[in-house]
Amino acid sequence: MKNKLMKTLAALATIVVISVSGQPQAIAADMELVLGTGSIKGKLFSAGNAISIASVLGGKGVKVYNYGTKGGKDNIKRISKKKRAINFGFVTAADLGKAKPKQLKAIRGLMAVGKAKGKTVLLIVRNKAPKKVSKEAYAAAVAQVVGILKSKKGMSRVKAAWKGYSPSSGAADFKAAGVKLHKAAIM
Amino acid sequence: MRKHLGIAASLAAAISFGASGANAAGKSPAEFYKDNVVTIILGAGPGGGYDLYARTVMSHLVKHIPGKPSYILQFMPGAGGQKAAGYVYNVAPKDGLKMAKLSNMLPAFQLLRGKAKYDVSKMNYIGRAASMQYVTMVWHTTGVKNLADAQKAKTPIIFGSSGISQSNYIVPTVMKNLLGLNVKVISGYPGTAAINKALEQGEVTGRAGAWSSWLSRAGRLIDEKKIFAIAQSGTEKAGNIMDGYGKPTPLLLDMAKNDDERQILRLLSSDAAIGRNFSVPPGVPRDRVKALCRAFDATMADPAFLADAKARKLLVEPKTCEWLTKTAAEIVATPKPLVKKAKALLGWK
Repeated sequence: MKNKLMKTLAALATIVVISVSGQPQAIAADMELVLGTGSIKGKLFSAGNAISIASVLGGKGVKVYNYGTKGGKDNIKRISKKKRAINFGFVTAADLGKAKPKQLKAIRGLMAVGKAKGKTVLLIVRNKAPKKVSKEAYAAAVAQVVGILKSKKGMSRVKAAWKGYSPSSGAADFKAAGVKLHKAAIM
Repeated sequence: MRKHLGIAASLAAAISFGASGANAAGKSPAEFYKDNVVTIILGAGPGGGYDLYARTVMSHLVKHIPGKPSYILQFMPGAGGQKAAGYVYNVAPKDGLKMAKLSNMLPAFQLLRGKAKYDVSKMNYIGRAASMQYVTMVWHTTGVKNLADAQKAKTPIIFGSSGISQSNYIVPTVMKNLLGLNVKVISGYPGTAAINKALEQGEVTGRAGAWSSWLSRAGRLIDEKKIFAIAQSGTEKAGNIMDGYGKPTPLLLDMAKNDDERQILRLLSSDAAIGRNFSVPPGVPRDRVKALCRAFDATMADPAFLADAKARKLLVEPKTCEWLTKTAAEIVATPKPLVKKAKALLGWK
């Protein structure tokens, strides 16, 4: 009787371990995401580099690659593209204000990352998961990137590249522009 | 005086040897790259051939670099890859942590466009993963199945192009102006996919494109004999590209009537030879460049890399850094009068 109980408990414990360890496996899967920053001569591009390096040294499987784009409007356009879309982008509230409703639907707000030229810079993310990636795994990867951006090491690395870096919610700006918040958004 | 110059030269040599020796003694490539992150800068956006090659090569290359660093990609498109080239050449740190996969058109651009903010002959090449052999394909309804048919064609073959600085413009224009083919080029298509669509819709009847791109994007059209290869451009002939009669397609370079034409064609075909190349900026310590070159060679022979490339339908035709350096230097040494003629041939100012 005792043996049977022990066996049942052991089986239950195994199930719990498997289900708990099952989640990080999806997160740990190698995923390469692209962040649209802005001109390669700008501070936000340097910040993008720092985020990129922080993501690799974070070592949890998600890598962020930096993409020198034409700026906020370009980032919105690239995030909402059907093919070859980028995953993250730096924008201002003004850029979001000029976006088409269809483009706004494709994006989610994550956080405010700081101020550049007196304007608040926001970080947005593409809502749709990349091809062959489940919604859950994508959401976990986005959460992992936000985690890196909020971590002490991540913050000091990005601050060294861009002094204006100071992560905060940005929820009011997203709300005003009609952009929904991502699950991993800083509240 | 001569004696003084000799002493000065010896001193300079000793200092430079000392500097490189100190560098090697201070931190070996393995020590330098350990726990470090190599950034590979791409002169294009995500999702295309540059991206695919870079990801595939880098994921294996870092295992062969002493110290096994991590890597990240950085996309820097613009001006046909010249923006990235200017950044890598002038701004990027010369420590061996910034690598580049730059446009294969750069040597030609440097000579033909002028005002380049880089010198391809001074780059430290790491190696080439594949050539970019351009193959001219013609739609089946034209009745053209090989180059001889094209030379006799009374109706012009209409080529789709994405812009005058692209190979899909350069190759048919060379065929028209140097070989006298009855060809028209329509520029302005947004990319390869759009030209392929125009081919299928009968809007255009030809396209010049990288062989790898034909295989990966339009292999069906080749299999169904909807398109026929008539010529290939590059510096070396690939023996496996057959025309509509099942015979190997000729190399445009072999059609040159004299040495001048041969040099012009060599310059205009240089992009094929430079191909999918990897480099670091000038000024990177020699021991690191050497370590990267050998790591690249080892990667190209790595069965895991080859299997990965095969799965992604990527051609692998590797060349060493030494070969690439020599080839780039030869292209850049094209005499100025011939460069002028090449520009005139393309209608470039």
